Amino acid sequence: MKTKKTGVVFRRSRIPLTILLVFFVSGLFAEFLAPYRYDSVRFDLSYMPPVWPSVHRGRLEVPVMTLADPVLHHFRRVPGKWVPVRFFCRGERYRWMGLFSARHHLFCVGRPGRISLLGLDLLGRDLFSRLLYGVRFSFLLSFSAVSISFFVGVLAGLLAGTSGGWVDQLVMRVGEIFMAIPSLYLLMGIRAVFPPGLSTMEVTLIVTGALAFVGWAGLARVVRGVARSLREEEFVLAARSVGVSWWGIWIRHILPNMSYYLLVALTLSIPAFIVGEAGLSFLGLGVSEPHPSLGNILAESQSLPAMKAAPWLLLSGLVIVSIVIVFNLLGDQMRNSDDAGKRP
Amino acid sequence: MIRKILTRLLHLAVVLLGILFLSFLLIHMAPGNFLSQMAMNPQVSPEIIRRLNVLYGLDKPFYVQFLDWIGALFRGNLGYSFSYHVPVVQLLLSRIPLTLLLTASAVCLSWGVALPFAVYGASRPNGWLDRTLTGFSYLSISIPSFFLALLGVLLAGATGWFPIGGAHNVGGAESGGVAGWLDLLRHLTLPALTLALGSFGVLYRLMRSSVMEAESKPFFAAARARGLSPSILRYRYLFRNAVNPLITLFGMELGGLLSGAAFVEMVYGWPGMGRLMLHAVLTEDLYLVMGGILAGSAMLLLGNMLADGALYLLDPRIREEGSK
Repeated sequence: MKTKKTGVVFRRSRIPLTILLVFFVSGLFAEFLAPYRYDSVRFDLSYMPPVWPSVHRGRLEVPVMTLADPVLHHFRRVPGKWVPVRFFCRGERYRWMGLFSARHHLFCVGRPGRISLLGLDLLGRDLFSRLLYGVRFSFLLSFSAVSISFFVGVLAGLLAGTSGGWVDQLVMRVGEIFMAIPSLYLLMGIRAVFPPGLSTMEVTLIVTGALAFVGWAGLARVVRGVARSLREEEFVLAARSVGVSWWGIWIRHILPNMSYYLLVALTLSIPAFIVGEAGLSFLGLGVSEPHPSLGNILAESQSLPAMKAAPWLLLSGLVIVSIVIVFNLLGDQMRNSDDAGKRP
Repeated sequence: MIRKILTRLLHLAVVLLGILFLSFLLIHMAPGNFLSQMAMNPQVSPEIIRRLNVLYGLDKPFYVQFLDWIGALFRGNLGYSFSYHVPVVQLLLSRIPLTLLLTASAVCLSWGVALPFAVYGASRPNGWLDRTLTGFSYLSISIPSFFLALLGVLLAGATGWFPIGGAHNVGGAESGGVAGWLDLLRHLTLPALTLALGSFGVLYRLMRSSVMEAESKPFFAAARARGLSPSILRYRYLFRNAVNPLITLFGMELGGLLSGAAFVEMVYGWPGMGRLMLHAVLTEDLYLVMGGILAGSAMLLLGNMLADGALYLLDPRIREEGSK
C-alpha cells in the first residue's frame, strides 16, 4: 500500500523531483562544479556580461574580453584572442565541504580568459559559481531551520493533541502568540537583539534559530488537529485496552499513522523557510558577505543602476522562485495522490 | 453569545499579554541598555550611571520592570527612539497609516480581482481562462515579494511610468488638495500592485475550490431547479456561500501580507512600518524595534477582529448559532 503510494508520487512528479535533484547535486558539489571560488574577485572585470564558450578552431573556446569603458561597464572582445575550455582540469584549490583538499574542477579556462556562464558581479566574482555555493548555503540553513522547527512543532502538536486539557490550552495559546506577530517583524526583532559585527557562522546560527523559533507554531497547530482526530480512532482504543502506555501509543501508533501527512506538511513548509532566509539575507540581516546565499546575491541588484548594468544578478531571484515552485508542486502532488492529506 | 464574546476577549487578552512579554523579553535579552552608551563616555562618572540605573528602575527585578513597562505602555509611552530623537509613539503614529493604506489597497485590489475571476473560473473549470489563471496563481504564490518588488523597480526604471521612493514628490505633501492625493496615488500604485499580485494566487486557488465545493451542495441544486439565471446563481448564491472560508483565512493571510508589505516598503522606499523597522534594527534602536513589533501585532489582531465581525455580519448561520 505504502510503496504503491510512493511509486505514484515518484512517477507523477518526475519533473520537480529531477529539478530538485539538480539543485541538491549542484549544492553538494559546488566546489567541483564551480570554475571559481565564491570569493575570488577580479576588480578589473566588474559587471562583465555572460560570455559563453563556442566552437572555434575546431574546439570549445572562450573569447578573451577586455574592459572598454570602465564607467558604463562596456566590454569588448580582444580580436583573435581565445582560450580553450578544459574539462576535469586543475584550477583554484579548495576543500570539498571542508574535508578533502582538491584542485579539480568540472571545467575551467586558462588565463587571461575568464569563463562566465552567468556574468560577473560588481567585484568581478563569477555569478554561476556564487549561485552554486548560494544554493548550498540556503539549503543548509533552511533545512536545519525546518528540521528544528518540525521537531518542536510535532512534539508540541502531539502533546497538545493527545493530552488535551490545560496542556492543550497552554500549547495553543503560546502558539497563538507567535502567530499574532507578523513573522518578518518577529524575525527582525530577534535579529535586533544580537549585536552587529558577528561572524558569518554566528549570524547563520542565529538566523537558523530565529526561523525555527518563528515557524514551529503553524506546524504544531496542524499536527494537533491530526493527532486529535487520530486519538478517536479505534486502533488507539484497541491499543489502550491491551495496556499500551500513552507514550507507546504516541510513538508506535499515532506518529506512524500521520507520517505521510507530516511529510506533505514538511514539503509544503520548506518554501517559507527558503524565502525567509533569502529575505533576511536580502535585507542584510542574514548571511553576510563574502559568503553567498540566494538572498544576498539578489541584494547586490537592489539599486536601479546595478540592475541596468548587470541584469543577470536578478537570476538568483529566479533560482529562489524555481526552488519554491518545485517544492510547492511536489507537496501538492503528494497531497493529491493520497487522501491522508485531507484527513484533518 | 455574551459568553462566547467574553471567552474570545479573554483569549485576546492572553495573546496580547504574551506578545508584550515576548517583546519585553527580547529587549531584556539584548546586550546593554540605553545607559550603556553613556557608561562608555569617560566624562560621565560611574556614580551617575548608578544613580540613573536606580532612577529608571533598572536595578529592580525582571517582573517589576515588566509591570512598570506595561504601566507606561498604557499611558501611551513606548520609550524614546535613539536614532530619530523623538518618542517612539510619535514615529509609529506617523508610519502606521501609510502601511495600513498600502495593505488595505492591496487587499481591495487582490480580493476585487481574484474573487470574481475565481467564481468565473470555477464555472468553467479547465477552460482556457481557468488554466491560465491557475498557472498564474502558482507563479504568484512562489514569487517572494522582495523579488517581485525588484522587478517592479526595474519596470518603473525602464518605462518611467511610476515614481520610485517615498509617498510624495518633494513638496507634494504640502501642495494638498487634489494634486496631493493624485501624487500619493501615483506613488502608491506600484507597491500596492506588487503586494496584490503576490496574494492573488492564494485567493484564486482557495476561492475556486470553495466555489466548486459549494456547487455540490443541495441548496445550489435547489436554486438551479427553480430556474434562476446563471449570473444570479453564481454571484448571489455561490459567492456568498463560498466566501466564508476566505474570510476565515483572511486573519492568517494578513500576517503574511504585513510581512510582504514590509519587504515591498523597503524595496520601493515607501515610508511605512517595515522601513522604519529595518532602520531601527540596523541602528540598534531597541525601543523602536519593540514598538514596531507591537504595532505589527496590533494591526494583525485588528485585522482578525474585523474578519470575525465580517463573518458575523455576512453569515446568518453564525448569527443564529450566536443568538442561541
